[in-house]
Amino acid sequence: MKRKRTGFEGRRARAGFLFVLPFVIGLLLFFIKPLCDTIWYSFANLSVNYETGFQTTFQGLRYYREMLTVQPDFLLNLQAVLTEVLYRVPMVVIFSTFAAVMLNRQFAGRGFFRAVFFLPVIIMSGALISVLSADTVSSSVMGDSSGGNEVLNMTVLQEILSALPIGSSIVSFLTTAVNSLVDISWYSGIQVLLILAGLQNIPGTLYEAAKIEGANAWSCFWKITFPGCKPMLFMTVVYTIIDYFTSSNNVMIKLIRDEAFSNFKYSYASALSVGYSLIILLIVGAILLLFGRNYVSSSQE
Amino acid sequence: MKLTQFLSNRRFFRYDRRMQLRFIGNGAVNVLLQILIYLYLLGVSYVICSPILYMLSMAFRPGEQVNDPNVVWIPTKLTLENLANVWNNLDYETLLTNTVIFSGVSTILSVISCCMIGYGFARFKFRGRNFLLVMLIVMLIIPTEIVSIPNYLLFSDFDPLGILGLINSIAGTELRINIFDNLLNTFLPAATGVGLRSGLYILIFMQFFRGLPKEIEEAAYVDGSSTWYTLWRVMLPNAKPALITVFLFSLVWYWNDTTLSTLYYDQFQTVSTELLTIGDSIRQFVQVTTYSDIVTWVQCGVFLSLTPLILLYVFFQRHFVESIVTTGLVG
Repeated sequence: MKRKRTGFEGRRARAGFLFVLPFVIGLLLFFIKPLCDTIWYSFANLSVNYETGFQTTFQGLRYYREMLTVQPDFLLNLQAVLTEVLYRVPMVVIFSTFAAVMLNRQFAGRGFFRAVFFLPVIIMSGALISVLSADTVSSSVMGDSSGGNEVLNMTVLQEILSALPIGSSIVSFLTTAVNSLVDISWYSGIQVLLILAGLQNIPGTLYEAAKIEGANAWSCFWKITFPGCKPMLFMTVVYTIIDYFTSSNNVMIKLIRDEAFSNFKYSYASALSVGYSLIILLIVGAILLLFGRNYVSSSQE
Repeated sequence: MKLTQFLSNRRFFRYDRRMQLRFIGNGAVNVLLQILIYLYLLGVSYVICSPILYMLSMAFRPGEQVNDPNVVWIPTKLTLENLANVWNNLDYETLLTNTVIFSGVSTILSVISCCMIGYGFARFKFRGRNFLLVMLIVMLIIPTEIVSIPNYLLFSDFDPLGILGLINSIAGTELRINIFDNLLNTFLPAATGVGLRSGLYILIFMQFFRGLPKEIEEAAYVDGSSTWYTLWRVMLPNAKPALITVFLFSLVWYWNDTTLSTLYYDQFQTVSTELLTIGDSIRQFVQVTTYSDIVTWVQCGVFLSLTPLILLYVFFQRHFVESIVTTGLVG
């Protein structure tokens, strides 16, 4: 009896491994080996010769020393990326929670608004977004990349606001706020989807019960909606952080790409990559370990 | 909802505990709230749509009207000249075919491989499963660019596990496989579940299959079906939402991709990579150009590359939204 059971388990294990086999191969070939190579190149000088392939000579910590003490780029960009994440993530999460709560209600034109709010999902990536936000034109024609992301023309708003009796600092604050709303709404398509999915999982009976007990919308939100979609909110936060860290518009990624493929400093770029990856892994790993246990495991069981 | 109905259905006054008639403003506040919500939704919709409206407005106007202060959104004269310029000078048919092959095949391969892998993770226990899951998360977190240099070298001298080198050393030949600038360097990772954002798709499938009741599979096993047959005939028909989600995500991300297609390709161009340099490429063909012309061309290029996606989105939108909501995506 017991033998047969292990036989079945063994067969199941083998079948499961067969399903995952392509991933094992792909992981080894296109991820783990290149990753080890990158780590090795960051310690060694890599010279590429088109006749005979490439050679490496061990250099020790030279590139890390260059990264941390000689060149200012790494630390400056790291600081820029981290501050950007710090203020962007809360804004994206708040915006998308708000939008998702709105889109979850029953109202006329819901389908239309949902379609519009998810539109960024299909356009947000790659060249389209940078062209749509018009910075490719200015950078390829005018030779600079300043004045990029202003999608909307802010002059009208500025004129209206400056006619009002408020200080100029408030005006500039408001226009930047509206401007970053543009940015945020363009980057939170998937986040809205995630939170909406979380909201849909909350059973409607809870709200009915609360209504009978005399709860108002405000306490319904904080007592039912918020706890109900907490796991999803957590996923959204993690997704937003990862998405920003790995986005190719990120200054750090741009730096790595430039160093590797424009300046051909492969080893220095590898050192940058390793340093950056370690920091991302530490941050995301810390978040997952500290807070993940409660949410992820509870939603998986 | 009909506003009049809404207004007439609400009570503006109510009797409080002491049976005194009190204005509670419930209806009025609700109407105001409703208006505010619509204003908010319309505002954000405008913000989201404005680049697309800008694109439409720019793509079909003659170059001299770009900086015309009299023309803000709607040009007085519509022209197809820009579109013709872009279409002919860029050899758009080739670009489109390239993009369709590049993104279509990669997407199909990704969907198949990630579905299998996700099912394997969701329903089976085997040795090394936890390690693989950790690697999956690491793969999600680490940007593609990090492994770009070794991959670049790997592709220009493709020799998995040194098999080719072994053959060469035995037979004394100098065989080399170069898949740099070859579609295989995108298809192979996609087929093995390490393509563009494949980690996310594996998670989506895994989460989805986990949510399906085990009983249907058990019934299939009792009837003597194999694991593959069960996946194919029992699980897949139930996994339509996840399939649609992954298909659409993958197609969109491969279509818009500029990372892989600029890193590992040289001659091969897709619509998205062409967009990066569209102004310069057309300037070579047209003799007299102004800055305004370039603006219209760029927007035409965006229009041409976006239209297939938008059509697809309009077509799939209903399924997509529903499926996301039922998939629960990454729970």
